[in-house]
Amino acid sequence: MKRRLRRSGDMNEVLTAPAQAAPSDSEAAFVELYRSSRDDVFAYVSGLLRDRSAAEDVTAAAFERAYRRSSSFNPSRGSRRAWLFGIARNAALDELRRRKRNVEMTSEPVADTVPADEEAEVATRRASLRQAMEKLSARERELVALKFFAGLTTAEIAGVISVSERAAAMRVHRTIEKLRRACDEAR
Amino acid sequence: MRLDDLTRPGRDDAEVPAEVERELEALDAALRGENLPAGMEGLEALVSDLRAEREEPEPRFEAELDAWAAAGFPRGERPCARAAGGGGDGKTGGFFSRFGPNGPRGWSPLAATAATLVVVGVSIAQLGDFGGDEEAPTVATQAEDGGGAAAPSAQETADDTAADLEGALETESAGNSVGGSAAQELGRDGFTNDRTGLTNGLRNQRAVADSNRPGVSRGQEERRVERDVELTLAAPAGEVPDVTNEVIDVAEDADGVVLNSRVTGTDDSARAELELKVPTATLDDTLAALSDLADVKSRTESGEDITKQFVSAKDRLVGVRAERDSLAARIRAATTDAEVDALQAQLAGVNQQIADAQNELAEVKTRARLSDVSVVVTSDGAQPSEDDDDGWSFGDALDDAGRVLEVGAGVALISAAVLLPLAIIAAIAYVTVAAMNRRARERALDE
Repeated sequence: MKRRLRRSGDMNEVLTAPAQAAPSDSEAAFVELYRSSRDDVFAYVSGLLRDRSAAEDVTAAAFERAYRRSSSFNPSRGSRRAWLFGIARNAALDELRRRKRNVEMTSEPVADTVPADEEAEVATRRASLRQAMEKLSARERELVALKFFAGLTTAEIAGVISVSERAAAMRVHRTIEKLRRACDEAR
Repeated sequence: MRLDDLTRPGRDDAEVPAEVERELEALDAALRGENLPAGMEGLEALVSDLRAEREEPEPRFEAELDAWAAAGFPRGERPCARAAGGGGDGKTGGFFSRFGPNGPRGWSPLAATAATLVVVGVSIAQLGDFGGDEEAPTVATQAEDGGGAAAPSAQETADDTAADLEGALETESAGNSVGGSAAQELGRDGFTNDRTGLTNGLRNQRAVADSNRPGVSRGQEERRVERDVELTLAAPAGEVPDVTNEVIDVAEDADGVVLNSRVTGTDDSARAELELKVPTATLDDTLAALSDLADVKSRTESGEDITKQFVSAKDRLVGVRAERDSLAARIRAATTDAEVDALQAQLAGVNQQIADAQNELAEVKTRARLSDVSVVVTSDGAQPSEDDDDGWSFGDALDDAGRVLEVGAGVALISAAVLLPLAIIAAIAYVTVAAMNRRARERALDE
């Protein structure tokens, strides 16, 4: 039976509420990581899965895993943020696998309508971008999500997808080039 | 360093091309909201458009996730957007989830229990052997014709030998249990025996027993065996004289005699040597009694078949007696004094031969009836007597500590011998499962 959760309108208020005991350095670091990465993790997972509901579940699962395994973080192997996104990536890939084993879910439709207040040129450009994104592979979409949605550095991306920094840089570069070409073709 | 780095050496060591590096730097600057230099407006627009595509969490989800985080991520209360799937257990279809709700961690108690049981079992089995490898006394039973040079040294060998000999004796003759019981006793005592020597010894025992048995028919002359035993007993120096006296008592109780005895020694070491003659018929009982007096360090038995000598001596006696009877008859039939004198002179010589033959026969009989037993009582290699223990000394403490360390090291070694392969197997399994899991995840992006 799922318990009804108490809602809070302000994340900072919840996380900085008077504590029973002073948090340890590890807990404080995790709180800071949560604050700084919550929306980025969601954006990355959502961009990878293209399913908001699944992205919410995976985001929650990722933070839960990270919280329970916070002692396993090793600073010598990368930043705490890269470590968190690695966990989120695993959770997202598990979700992709589960989804493929069960029912092939359809991606949420790409909005074809352009907001009325948007400039016509911008609207056209973004429509082209959305079409171009559809042409990217899952790996390329992941790189876009990591770079543009989550704002990770190249070194952090390398840590998340377990490749060298140079390989990550080259992959990001090739993805951008492909995206540009696809945008040009779509216009 | 990652595995990918190792499998692709050289390629990733190269520097990122300058243009790519410039583009990525500009990209990062654009993501930070900084203005890009002229000529990169396209990139700036791309960044802006892509950032606009970024999905933001709904306020509802933010609030639920914040509350859950503030509560310390309690299990089973995860915000769940979907009615089904998505977890609650923190695992959304990973490789490990196929093996149960707890994933690989669920294996840990089981594996630990199994490993512990193995270690405890092996340790107990090994500890059961501790102290069981004490130096065993050796008995080399030798026949006159040799053959006991290479004496086996295992308890199993003694048991097998005893069993084999029992069977062999049964095929040769029936009705004598002396050999079988002796074999069993030797096997039970853990002595090592030479197969051939013991066989001969058992045959000899049977021959002696037969010789004492009434009703053995003429023409089936019983075998006569001369047996010789050397027994070395170990006792603390202070107990050597007492053990020596007890040896004498045992010999006398067995109707034997002590030919000579000699005791030498100091407070620290002592040695006694005794030469006994004991009845062959009760030799085994006597040896058993002697063996109970102290630790048996060695025991050597030999047997010589003197049946031929016995028969020869007896035949010679019969022969000279017949000659004497013949001479007596001739004397009675003699008609002249000279003839009588000559025959009486011959008779005197024959009588002397009869006396010699009787002595020879008696000697052979004695050799068969009495066995030579040489007993040495020595303090060399003797375990300290409990009576000499004046208490728990510092040396005893050191010995005990050493023993504890020895046992501990043994257990640790055994445990390591068991656990190391298990750990290697577990490590290989872990790496394999991790690699499989990673590949399976990566395939989700390829399909």
